[in-house]
Amino acid sequence: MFKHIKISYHQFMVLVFFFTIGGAIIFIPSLTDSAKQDTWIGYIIGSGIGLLFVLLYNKLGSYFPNMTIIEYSEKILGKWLGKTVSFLYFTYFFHCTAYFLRQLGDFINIYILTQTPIVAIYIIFFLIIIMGVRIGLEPFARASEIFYPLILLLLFIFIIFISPQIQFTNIQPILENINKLPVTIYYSLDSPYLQLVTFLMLFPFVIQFKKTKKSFILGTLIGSIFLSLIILLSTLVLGVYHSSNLHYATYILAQKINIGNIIQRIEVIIALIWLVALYFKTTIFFYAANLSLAQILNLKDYRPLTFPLGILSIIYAIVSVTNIASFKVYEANITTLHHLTFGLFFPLILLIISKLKKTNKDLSKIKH
Amino acid sequence: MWAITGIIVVTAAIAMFEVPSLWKKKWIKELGVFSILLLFGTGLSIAISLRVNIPNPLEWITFVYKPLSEALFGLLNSWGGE
Repeated sequence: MFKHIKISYHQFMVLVFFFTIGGAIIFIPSLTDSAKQDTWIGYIIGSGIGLLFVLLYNKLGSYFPNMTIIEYSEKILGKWLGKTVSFLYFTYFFHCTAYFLRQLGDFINIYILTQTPIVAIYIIFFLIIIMGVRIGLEPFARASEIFYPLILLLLFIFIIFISPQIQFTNIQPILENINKLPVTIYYSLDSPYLQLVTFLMLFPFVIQFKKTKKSFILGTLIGSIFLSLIILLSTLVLGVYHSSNLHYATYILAQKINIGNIIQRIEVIIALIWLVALYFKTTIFFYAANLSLAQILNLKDYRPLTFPLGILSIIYAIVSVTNIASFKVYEANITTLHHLTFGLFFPLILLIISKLKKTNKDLSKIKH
Repeated sequence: MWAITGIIVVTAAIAMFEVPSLWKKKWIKELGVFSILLLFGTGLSIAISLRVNIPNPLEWITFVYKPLSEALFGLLNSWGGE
């Protein structure tokens, strides 16, 4: 289904990059809660483990280069078990769409449109997402390529302009909280490496499969370097207390920029980076949700599903989160496990079973 | 009341946008899935506008993962020496 869609491996890399920094970039300094000034070390270790997940997805994708995870889970696990796993993946993609929609709505409601009801923000933002999904993956990937240099430039500007404010006493003493690093590593896994499993839905659309694997790793690597840098900068400039207690620490960090009393208050560049990246991230999740439901039900096209699923996503975002405090409790205790189930547990099982089936096939070939 | 009218108008607009092309192409299955999802969404929207209590899916997810989460955090914190 939909085999005529093709995107290049460079576009794939850009999408992975946006996916990695989107969502996480504005919250990531709050990880400093447990390991204090050593969080950046823990995050780099966590990113290393995150790259191992990417290797796992590459391995799983290379067994079935022309199929999405929905199609081959049915092939590996049989019809009914496969359909169940596929349906769970659909609920996961759908959940993540609403989850990031909620994050965006909260941010805009707190900083930009404070008097507007949050539902209005959801509806406006979701109309653009539906538009992105309906025009298809190819134009959408090209759009991401246009934004890529701009976002990189803004990130560099941000990092260079904030660097005069660095105070190295903020990360000393180094390795004081080494016993808290496991907690940091655990949290760093889901922001955002485990979510990268979504790209198993886009694998069959990328030309030149060998280079796709490399660009998957490269995109994740660039994103993780920026995220680690932002944790480090936030700890160095704001200090541990403010980094861990502010909800949008990176945004506040950008407010601190002051070059000779002329260049000040350019925090909107962080808002811009975050909004663009989050738009691409949410759209990829929504695309995956639509495509997975269409493939589970063997539909000819996913486009008829976009509007009804859009309405349901907005409802999910409204109903599931009653207030931001309950959302934070959920985030702290449950999110990582939820992502671990879909980002590690199911792919690993699929990989092991497909490997066993493959060896069985090879053995039976030798016998005959 | 106005909210319900608005929801029904939006639903009708979406249906008018989507249904004729599906009908022309004779995609009956797609049309069925589309209608079920749209009706489900409209029903839930009206329920929200009437302030009916809708079960929270995050609570189900929390219910599934809670024992595992508690065990895991006990382990992580014991390693951390607390």
